Amino acid sequence: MASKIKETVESKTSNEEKVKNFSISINKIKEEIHKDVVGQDDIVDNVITAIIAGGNVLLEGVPGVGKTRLVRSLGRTLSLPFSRIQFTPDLMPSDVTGTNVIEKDERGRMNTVFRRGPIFANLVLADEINRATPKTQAAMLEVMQEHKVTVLNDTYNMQEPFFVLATENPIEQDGTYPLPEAQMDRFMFKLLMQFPSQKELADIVNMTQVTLDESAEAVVDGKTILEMREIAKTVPIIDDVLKYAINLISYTHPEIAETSATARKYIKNGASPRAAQAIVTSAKVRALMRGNYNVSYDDIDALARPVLRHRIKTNYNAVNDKLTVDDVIGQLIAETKKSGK
Amino acid sequence: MSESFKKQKRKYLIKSLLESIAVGVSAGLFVVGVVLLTLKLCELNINAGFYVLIGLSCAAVGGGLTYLFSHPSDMKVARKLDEEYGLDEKIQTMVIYKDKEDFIYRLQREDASEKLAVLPKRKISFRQVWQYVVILILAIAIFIPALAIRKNSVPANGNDLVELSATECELVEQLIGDINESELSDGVKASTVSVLRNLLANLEGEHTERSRKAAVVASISFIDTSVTSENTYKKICTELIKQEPLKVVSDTVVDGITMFKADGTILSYQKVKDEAEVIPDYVFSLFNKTFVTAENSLRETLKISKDDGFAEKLTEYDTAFENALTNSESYTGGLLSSLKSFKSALGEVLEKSGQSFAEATLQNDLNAGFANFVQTFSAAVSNESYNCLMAEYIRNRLAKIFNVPLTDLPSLRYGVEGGSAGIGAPEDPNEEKKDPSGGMGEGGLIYGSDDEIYDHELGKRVKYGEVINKYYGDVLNLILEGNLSEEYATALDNYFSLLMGGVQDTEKGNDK
Repeated sequence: MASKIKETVESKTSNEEKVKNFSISINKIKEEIHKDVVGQDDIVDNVITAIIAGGNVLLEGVPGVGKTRLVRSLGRTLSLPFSRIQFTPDLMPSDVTGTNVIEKDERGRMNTVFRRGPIFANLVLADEINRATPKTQAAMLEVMQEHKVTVLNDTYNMQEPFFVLATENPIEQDGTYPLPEAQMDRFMFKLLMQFPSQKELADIVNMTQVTLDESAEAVVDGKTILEMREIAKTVPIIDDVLKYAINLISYTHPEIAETSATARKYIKNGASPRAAQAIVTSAKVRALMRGNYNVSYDDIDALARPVLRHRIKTNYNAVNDKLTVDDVIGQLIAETKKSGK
Repeated sequence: MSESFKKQKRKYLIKSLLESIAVGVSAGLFVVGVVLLTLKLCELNINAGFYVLIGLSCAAVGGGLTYLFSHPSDMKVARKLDEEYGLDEKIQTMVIYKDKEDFIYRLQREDASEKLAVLPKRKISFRQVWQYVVILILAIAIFIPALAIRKNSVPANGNDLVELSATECELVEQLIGDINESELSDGVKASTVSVLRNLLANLEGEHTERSRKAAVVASISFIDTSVTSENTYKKICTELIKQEPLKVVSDTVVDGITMFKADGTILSYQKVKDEAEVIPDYVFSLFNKTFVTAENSLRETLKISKDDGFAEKLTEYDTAFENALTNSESYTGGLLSSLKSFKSALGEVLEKSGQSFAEATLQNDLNAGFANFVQTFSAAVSNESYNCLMAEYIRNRLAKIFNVPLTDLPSLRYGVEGGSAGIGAPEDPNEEKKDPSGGMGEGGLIYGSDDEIYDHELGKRVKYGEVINKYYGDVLNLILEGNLSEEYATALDNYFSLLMGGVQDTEKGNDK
């Protein structure tokens, strides 16, 4: 009994320490990543948020902005195995997940052995996912959703934490298979990687003149990430803030009676309930990352665009009025605030 | 809850209380100001205690409602703190989960408390309080003018209760002193003083304005009657006027009396004394002047010889006096004595009229008779004139003391029925005979019907105008005693006031 109480007290104390150390750990991770990645602070923050929240990220950016380098640095920093899959139109699902092959053992007998595909890593970079065929995309997305692979009736679980960073090239759209909305929904965030600024570009050039090697070092491990994930789940969110988040998601639906004027005018399809889950889960992580112990309206607002921009579809009115999806989300935020939080 | 949160909550509580007080005070002042202003403009009055009650009630309601809506609950304070200091909903989370014991909630509470402990001091900016300042200014802007504006000076509501003031008592006592010092007869003094003391006794305690006024007017009416009851000039002059040769005598008398006609100027006893000093000389000079004419006329008349009708002429005067004095037998006083004595003197001359008028004895007797008449008659008229002067003084003073308009007093008529306008005014042979069915009075104002009524006290028919004063006094007594209903009292008061003020005769139109 005494040992149980002692265990409880010790675990409580260590939980508190873990919470207090959360933002310290995050800062260390960011510090290490920025040794290899110049700028892109928001992208780095959101990617870390998604990893800890247990989601996946769709990254849209032109070639050469550092997507692969980011994931690789992330893997090194988090001490997690990393793999990269370059999607091409001829890529098969088994190329991603792995397949059974027949091998001769030392006794010369023929056995069926499952050869794991590149998906079997903790951090996976799915480069140009929109170049793969729908069948291959579907295999990939199944793994992303369920964290397991089924090959010929055998199921293989992914090792946690399992994180996929998929990329899309906004320039080369010929011969691509855009992801359907239902599958886009499986990404927690969609992030837009911008071309670096002049200063950042100069820093990149200077850095890579010295060495192309990545120097980020491990600061946490997978177990820590999982612990951080559990800690983040406990962050409290008051009803008013929760209601605000839910209203924001509801207001993306033009067909609902009490929807927003913005949705009625500019949105064709609204976000799914996964959006509400994603925004609240990621907001808790963000709160802890900033050293807060509760979710605020500001957290919801900051994550609204990454969560919603790939989940809502705008109509021709938005095109006519030259509004991007981010602009429409901005109007939704304003309208939700005005409606009385 | 953390101490720092409680401290912050106290600040909001104080702010809420101050706001409630500001609103309450403003509401109270505003409503009292509006009510006060409205009632003043409508010339209404209520007890000051009601204003206090209204003010306090409105202040309590206004302040109470404000506090009810603005008083800070824990959540309201938390919300305000988060918004004001950008605390990312820390305080709200702390308040909502104050009872949770999990480690994350404890950490969250600690973090929130730390943030509260280092909050900068709040400065109250004008932006936060401007609306309270504005409503307070508005309320004061209504209240102060309402206090400052004077109630319109209109006669008080007749139903307001008024007490006899010490000043009024003192002034009436002064008047009594003046009366005792005056040259009125002892009987008149006693009755007048008695009436005034009764008036003071009746006005003790609270009375309505209406009943006070009625009492004062009734007293004045009594005093008028009492003071002028000693005067016999009216009745005697009425008889004199009927005799053609003696009309001039009546006119002179009336002129002597009417110099003190009621015009509200005899307001001090000093003025009475000043005027009283000049009465005898004035009257004497009037008579002298008159009787110069009369005397010359008589002398001229009597210059004729016995053969030309001296005796008849003298007989004519004698007869005129005889007729006038016959109807005046019931009257006493200096006037009558003087007239009798003059008639007697003329009678003696008539007896000697067998002698020639030119004879010195007759002339001497006639001159002596005239001289004696002028002396005694003017002295008697002076006496009666003084009575009228005192009557004027007493009524004017009483009206002034008790704030009764002069127009509300019963009229004090000096004229004599059938008399002409004044000394020297020629008789108008074309003047129409006064319609006996019209009112009594002179000039264009009619004061009462000259119809006769039966007076049960006198036991005979009298002209209504002669007894109207007495009837008015009796009615005022009844009003004062409270024996009449309000409606009836008002109707009677209005009726007599109208009669006492006179009604314009549309045929004449000049008010004397």
